[in-house]
Amino acid sequence: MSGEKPIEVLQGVDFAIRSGESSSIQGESGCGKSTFLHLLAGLDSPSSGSVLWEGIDLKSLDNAALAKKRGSLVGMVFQSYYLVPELRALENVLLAARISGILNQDTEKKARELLDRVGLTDRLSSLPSTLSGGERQRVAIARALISSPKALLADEPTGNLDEETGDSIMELLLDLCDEEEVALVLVTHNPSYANRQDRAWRLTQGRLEEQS
Amino acid sequence: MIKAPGMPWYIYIALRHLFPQGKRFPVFTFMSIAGVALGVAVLIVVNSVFSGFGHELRNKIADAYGDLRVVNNQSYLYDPDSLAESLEASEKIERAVPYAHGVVMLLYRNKPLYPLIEGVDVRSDAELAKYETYLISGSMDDLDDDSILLSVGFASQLNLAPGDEVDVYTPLMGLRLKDSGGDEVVLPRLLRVAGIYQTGWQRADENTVICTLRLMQDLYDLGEGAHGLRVELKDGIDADRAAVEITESLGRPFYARSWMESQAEFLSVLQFEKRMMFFLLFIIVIVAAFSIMSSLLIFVIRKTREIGLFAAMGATSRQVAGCFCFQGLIVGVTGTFTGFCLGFTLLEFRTQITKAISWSMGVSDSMKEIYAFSYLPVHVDPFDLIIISVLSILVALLAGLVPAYRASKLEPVEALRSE
Repeated sequence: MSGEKPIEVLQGVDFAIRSGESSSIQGESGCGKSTFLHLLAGLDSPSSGSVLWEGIDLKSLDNAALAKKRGSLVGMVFQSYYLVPELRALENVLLAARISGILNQDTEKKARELLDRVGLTDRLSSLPSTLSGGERQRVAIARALISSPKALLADEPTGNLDEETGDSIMELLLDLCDEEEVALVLVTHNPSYANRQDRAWRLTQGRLEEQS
Repeated sequence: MIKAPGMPWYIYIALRHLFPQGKRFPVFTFMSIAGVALGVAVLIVVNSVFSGFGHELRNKIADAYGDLRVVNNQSYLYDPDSLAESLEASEKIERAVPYAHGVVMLLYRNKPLYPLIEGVDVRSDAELAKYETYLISGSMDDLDDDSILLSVGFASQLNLAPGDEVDVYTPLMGLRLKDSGGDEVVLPRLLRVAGIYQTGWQRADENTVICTLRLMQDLYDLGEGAHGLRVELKDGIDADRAAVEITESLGRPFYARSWMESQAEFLSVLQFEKRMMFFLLFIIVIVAAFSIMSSLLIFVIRKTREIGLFAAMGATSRQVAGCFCFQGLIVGVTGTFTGFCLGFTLLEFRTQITKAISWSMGVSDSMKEIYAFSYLPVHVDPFDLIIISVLSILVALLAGLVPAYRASKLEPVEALRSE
């Protein structure tokens, strides 16, 4: 006998996003925003329904193929940055390229450019422990974009930052997604950030509704 | 410059986990490697010393016994010189020297003892030279047909020294007395102690007397005969195989027995002791492996969110497992290499270490009294080194498998959510 009763987090969700578009997801804590992002990233699979990347149903992919596709199509930014503490800033950015198997001179050049773009030219060799929260999130954003993903999924990227730093991070994120023509799905509690996206959605009681 | 661009990410991360950059001292790595290294070092030192003792003892047994001995199973050799000459014609044989052996009663100050007695052919320069190296007092020049050499154990039992005289009775004297019906007076042979020797082979040193072959022929009424031939083989010739070949070529009733066959029981005990010691000491490596496993398991728990991150960046669960498995492998390889360095350093300075231990415990460091070695013998067997390194690395690798399996089974979503 199973001791836990299954909880239906998302119901009847219909969501699509194209290259260069941005969408925000708002909702109360625990409403399923992160679960929604994990489904989009293929880290979790829905009990019913399907998630399609460039028209391919993720259910049709085996674990290795899904992992490979995730590495090339999706970049993720987390509230807690999740940098590898043993790696320096540049190495953290290049780690995503290593995992995707695209590490070469060009990706190194791109990593340096991205870190330059996020204002960390002088901190390439810094370990995460020596960086501020804002700097860590900048490294995480550069890492998410190194593999030239089609979509960037950001889970409350400013949640751990003060307002001023959060604003600058958000500016940077939006500018970079615009420059790289990357689709952005932003989970946020901040209405001003949410309203700056092309489309704003609210997740309530498992249902995703677009805000007018 | 990109570091190790062609290196798979899981190996790269494994190395970074074990040897982090910056000022952080890798305590986990150090302790894990030290555990394996200590186990390997102890295994190398003890195994090499055990092999050294075994090797020395084998050499001493082979020296004292000869590579092999040829006997006539039905009687003694009536013409040992011609048989020796025919054997020495073989390109595998260095020399063949007649010998005779038996038991005598030796009486000194009314105290009887029953040593083994062996007559050696003093016409052979090689035989003389060999016993010269064993002598610890007296001189081979003094050994004639009226004198004997005493083993060190035997001499100490009777408190005999070179120059002392002893009475020797042989079994033939008893037979002669019996045959004469008590009419004949049988007198013992008065023999002088020419020297005291120690071969290092305990059995020979406990209770053996050496005399000339001529004397032995007199005592045992052998005429020009001998009980057998002691054969020394040329370097690199296998004694067991040579014994079989000689037995086949001479035919019955001759039989050649190698020193290994004659001491098979003793040699198997030596080998058994060495194996048991290896097994017991390998437990140290197994304990070290459990330490690696527990450290890596804790590491997996600490790195749970990182494992989720790897999955989010496109890593497969097999690659994640590889990352932790490789950490066990690196610890195993580095620990084994360090253990080799440590072990060989200890072996290099064994004399100084032995002296220091003896000095600190206030005991004599001379092993000559016990083993007839003036040094700690060491013999490094390449096969032992291969076994030690392969098993140590394998055990460390296995220790990494459990944490690796646990890491690979983490659901990415759960891993990212973990606190």
